[in-house]
Amino acid sequence: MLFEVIPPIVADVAADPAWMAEFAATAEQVGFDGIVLPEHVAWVLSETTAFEHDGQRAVTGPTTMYPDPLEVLAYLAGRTSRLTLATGILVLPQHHPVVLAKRLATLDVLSGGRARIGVGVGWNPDEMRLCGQDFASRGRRADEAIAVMRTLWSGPPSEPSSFRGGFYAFEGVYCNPKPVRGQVPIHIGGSSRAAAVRAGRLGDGFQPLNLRGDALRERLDQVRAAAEQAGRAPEAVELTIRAAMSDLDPASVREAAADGVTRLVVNGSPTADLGVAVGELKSFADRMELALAAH
Amino acid sequence: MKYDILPPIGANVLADPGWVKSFAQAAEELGYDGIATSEHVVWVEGFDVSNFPYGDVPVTDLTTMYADPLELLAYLAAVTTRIDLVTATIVLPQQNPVVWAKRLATLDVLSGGRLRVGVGVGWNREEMETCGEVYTNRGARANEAMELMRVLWSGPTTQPQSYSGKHYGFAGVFCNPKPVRGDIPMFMGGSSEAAAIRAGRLGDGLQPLLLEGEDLTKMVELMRREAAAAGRDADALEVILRRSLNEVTPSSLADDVSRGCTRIILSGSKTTDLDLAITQMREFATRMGLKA
Repeated sequence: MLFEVIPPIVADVAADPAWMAEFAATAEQVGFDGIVLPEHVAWVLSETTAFEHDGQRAVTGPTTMYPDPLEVLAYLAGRTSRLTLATGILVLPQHHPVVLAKRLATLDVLSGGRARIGVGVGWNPDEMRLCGQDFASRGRRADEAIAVMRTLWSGPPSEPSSFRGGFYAFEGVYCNPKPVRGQVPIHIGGSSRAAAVRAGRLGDGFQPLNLRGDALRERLDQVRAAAEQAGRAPEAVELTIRAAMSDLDPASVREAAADGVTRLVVNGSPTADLGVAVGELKSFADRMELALAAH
Repeated sequence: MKYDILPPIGANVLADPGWVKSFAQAAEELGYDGIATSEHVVWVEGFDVSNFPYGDVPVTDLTTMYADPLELLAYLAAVTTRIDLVTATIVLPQQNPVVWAKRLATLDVLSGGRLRVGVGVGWNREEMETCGEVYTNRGARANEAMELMRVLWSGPTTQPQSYSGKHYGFAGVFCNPKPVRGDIPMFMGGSSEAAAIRAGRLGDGLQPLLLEGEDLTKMVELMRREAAAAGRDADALEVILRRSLNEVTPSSLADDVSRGCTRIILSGSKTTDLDLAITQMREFATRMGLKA
């Protein structure tokens, strides 16, 4: 099992560089595998700010500090040496995929190949329009965006890339540098059937927000069926779920593993107290024997 | 005079984080004011070179490693403590301005308020179109983008912001965090009258390429007139020139100062030899009396 940690966004710590550097360095030191940052470019004051998503009420509000996740991860690339730098979730069709391809490849290169992105199609039409993108086509654009980025990332730097889709098209394009491992792993967020199918067809992983038990197993079956249908090896699609550190013990982690979960993105208390947050990382690592697993 | 330094992008060093980190740390130690980087998202085969407004196109190798400038500067923010982080330049109308505002504010906060942004309207049509933006209205969109970003950067974090332009508009928007100083200095790249006017009305200064002598003086005067007409402090605006390390001499410096130049963005040899690059920086720092 891999363990990545998401900092307490609701406590407005994500834009505090000293806080984040210490938190990430501790996570690395005690044996976590990665750190995860979410994305909201902006919030629009309207009915959508009273966010209900997958039946879960948002605990963050429109004034919460949501720094750009890739800038924060690039910063943390300079303060860590081993941690995976991940997004959870980046709203893929909110960005132009050519620009995003360059940004992600850069983050990957700066970190020595440690980037992993969890992407979603987005749920907030106001935020997407604010970013200059169409909401209705977001699913189809997300599919194409993944293909665009993988096209730009592949091949030697000396070879131009071309792409022809319904939304994006180019020819003879050089986009350098390339990711260290040739690609940046793309994990598909979301809890719907569409997300599961997209993960099976295109993803390096499936990263649902809020699924457990039978609901999770049903989606995982859909991921694997879609993978098989696309001629891919179903077991190659990783499964990442969220959990509170306080809810986990070795037995529940073994159960999750038996359900096919390969990575847990965990969170601690919603506190801005760095001492408390770091203490939680350490005691969780002790309890789960992370340092042993990492070596 | 203040000095920023550009790493040798043409030598592909931006894809080597250890190299750029050591270069930036050396620049900081030697007393340089800023570390700069530039932007090309992509290069497209067969692009129209006649759109380049400054003479011969400087980039002949389309495979050059142009790391994303803001991710690179965020990384450098983590490994330096004092030196300014500088774009020279980013192509503003090539990306969505709300996303730019969030990214730039984030970088500013991560660096403790060390960000200075050179912005251009872009000249490479094929690059801009590959990024999904319209080439022909880029100047008008750049003006709005500068206004809009300043709106999103201002005010307390609890206050929603609104903007109404021809190309961009919104109401009731929260975009946090805010820049450390409440705003981020923006310098207008470009050598045209439009650039000078934009710098005077909206910018914190002008960053012309290949303007010298009387032509430079005229543009600086135009910028200051526009600033005064807009009720802004014309004397506070910077004039930023590009020079190679070995062409700056006491007499060239005196001439640049007489034209209003306040800052020079320097570049050394196109080399991957880190020791050589740092030696060149050190020699300049000694020669010009930079204080560490």
